[in-house]
Amino acid sequence: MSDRAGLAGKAAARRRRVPEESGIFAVLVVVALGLSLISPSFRTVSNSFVLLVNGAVIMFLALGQSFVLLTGGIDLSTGANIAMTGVIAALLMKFGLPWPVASVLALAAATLLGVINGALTHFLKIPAFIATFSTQGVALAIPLIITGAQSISVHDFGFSWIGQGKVLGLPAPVALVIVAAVAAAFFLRMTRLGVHIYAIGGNRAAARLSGVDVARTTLFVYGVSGFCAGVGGLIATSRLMVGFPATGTGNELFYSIAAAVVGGVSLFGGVGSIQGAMIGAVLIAVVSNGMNVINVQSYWQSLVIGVIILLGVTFDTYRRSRSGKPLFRRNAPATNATPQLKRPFPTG
Amino acid sequence: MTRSLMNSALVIGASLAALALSVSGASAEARKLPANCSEAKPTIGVALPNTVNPYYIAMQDSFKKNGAAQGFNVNVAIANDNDSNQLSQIEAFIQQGVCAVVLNAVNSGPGAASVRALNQAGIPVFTVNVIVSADDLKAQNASFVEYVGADQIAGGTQIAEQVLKDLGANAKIVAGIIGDPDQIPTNQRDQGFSDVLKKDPNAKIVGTLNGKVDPNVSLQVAGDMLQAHPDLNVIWADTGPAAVGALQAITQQGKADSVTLYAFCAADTALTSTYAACAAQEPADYARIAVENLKKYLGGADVPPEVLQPLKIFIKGQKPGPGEVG
Repeated sequence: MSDRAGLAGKAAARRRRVPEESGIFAVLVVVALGLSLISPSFRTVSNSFVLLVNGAVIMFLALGQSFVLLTGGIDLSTGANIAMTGVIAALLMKFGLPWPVASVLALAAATLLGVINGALTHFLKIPAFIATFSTQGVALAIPLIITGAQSISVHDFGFSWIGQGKVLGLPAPVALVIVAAVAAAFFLRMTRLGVHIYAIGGNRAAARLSGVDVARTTLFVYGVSGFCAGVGGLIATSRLMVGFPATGTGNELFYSIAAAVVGGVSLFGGVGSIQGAMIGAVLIAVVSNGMNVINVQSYWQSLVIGVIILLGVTFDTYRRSRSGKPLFRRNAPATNATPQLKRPFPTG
Repeated sequence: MTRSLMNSALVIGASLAALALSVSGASAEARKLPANCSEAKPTIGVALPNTVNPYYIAMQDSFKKNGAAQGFNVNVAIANDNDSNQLSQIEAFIQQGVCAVVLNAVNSGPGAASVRALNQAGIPVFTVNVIVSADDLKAQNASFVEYVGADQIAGGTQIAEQVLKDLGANAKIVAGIIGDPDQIPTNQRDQGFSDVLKKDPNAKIVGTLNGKVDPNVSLQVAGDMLQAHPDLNVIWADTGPAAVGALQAITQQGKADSVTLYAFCAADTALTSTYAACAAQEPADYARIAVENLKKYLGGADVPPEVLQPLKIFIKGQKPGPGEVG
């Protein structure tokens, strides 16, 4: 293998760089292949759709969370935001609003919660961990207060499209995730605001001194996270056609942060990509579904997920520690292994 | 692991009866009650796990209503599903010098510590809904006056018999369970259900997945289960929220004609050909019985150590009323 790589030409080897996400992608492929070998039921198209639809909410949360993590923040309120958005949407439809209007208003509430998170962390200088933990409490309580813990049925049939519809043969939640992830990935790579997000996570002070509008960018990333949680809330509610005040308050938050981190998004900001976070989220969805399909006892499931997250992160950390070093000893050392976007500003 | 849990649930059930018998043997004359009980309007403390589940809301409302009817002040404490919260709330009741406490423990084992604290303070304890572990009670030399709740095992048994009746004696049954293996009552329901089906040579139970008493999680795991076992024709969801999720999973995979759901009743959901039968508990009723028996007990009468209420079964075309939930 290394011989052939060497023969391919030194110039080519110099240019060739393994994508950041390849490690976690390899883990995903191995896990999926393993499960496919164990169970014929796992390797069907319909099961892949079930798996992806089940994972769609976590994918959306991980998507929004990545924006926040890239700036060096964290958003702990997203799980609770799911419940809040779902109940608000169900309630508005109960009051007679058509479902698109109810959905947009519910999304606005979700985004507002995110913007409030951003304002608390930026203007009041409250650490993100505490600020978003507090708003999580608020967002958890709102649906309970509104509903008295009763679930609210949705009778507007059109609303079911969000969670149960199809787009070009794909389940609607999966299509929505794909569109959102592609848009987000391009946004982070191609736009000025996207670069600013990495800049703030790389070095907040340097970013500010270079003219980055830190306030606007911070409000933006938390707003995105709130919005994504809101979409997650709509999907969960649309799948059940019931606004349930405790939806999304289980493992969703933890799994979404884990998905982003396993996918290579740094908890300290400035490093990572949407592609990585999505691969991480799919990995968690594959493992959850796979264990249910091969009937792993529930007591073991969180253990297995915990171990896989650890393995994924360890693998990734090891690969990172070698980043900048030559892939194969025989080749010339790579000159600039740090992607330009990763550290646009000196860290310190 | 599941088996050992079920076994311990059995042991608990059996020794519970014996233990409680010895408690109620104490004669009325020897009964020494807290000073608060002699007041014109005694105060009772009610400790509940949460108010997220509609089940406990129905229970809370009933405690307040029936408590007032029986001439009690009712103080309710909500533990937010946290055992140590509950213990500190029980200690607060002791500090307030309440006349008696009705305890719906958050978890079976840790509940014994609350019972013991109340015993030491000389405050009578009634327990509802969640069975406090007899082993732990014995280890801590603690005891309660009465337990009131549903007969969980019978609930599972009744539904399994309904399955056999609906599908016919010779039908091939491939059943999956959406349960919560971390809780004793749900495991008892599954046990009742499985015990009946195991006797049928044509029936097979493919496994239990954890729906965590959450419709969203239940929807996901039921979806996985339907994928894993294309020949599945019965799903047993052992709580109301699990039923809501499982029903959606069945219809969304277009299997409403081939898979039938049996469950503990989901609130406000009518029974159909797909959702064929459910068993309902009546939390408001358990609260009423507990308060009425508490009143009798304070008046010097003896009360039974265990009141197990049968479950109400609903079938196709019926709909559980308000407060009748799994």
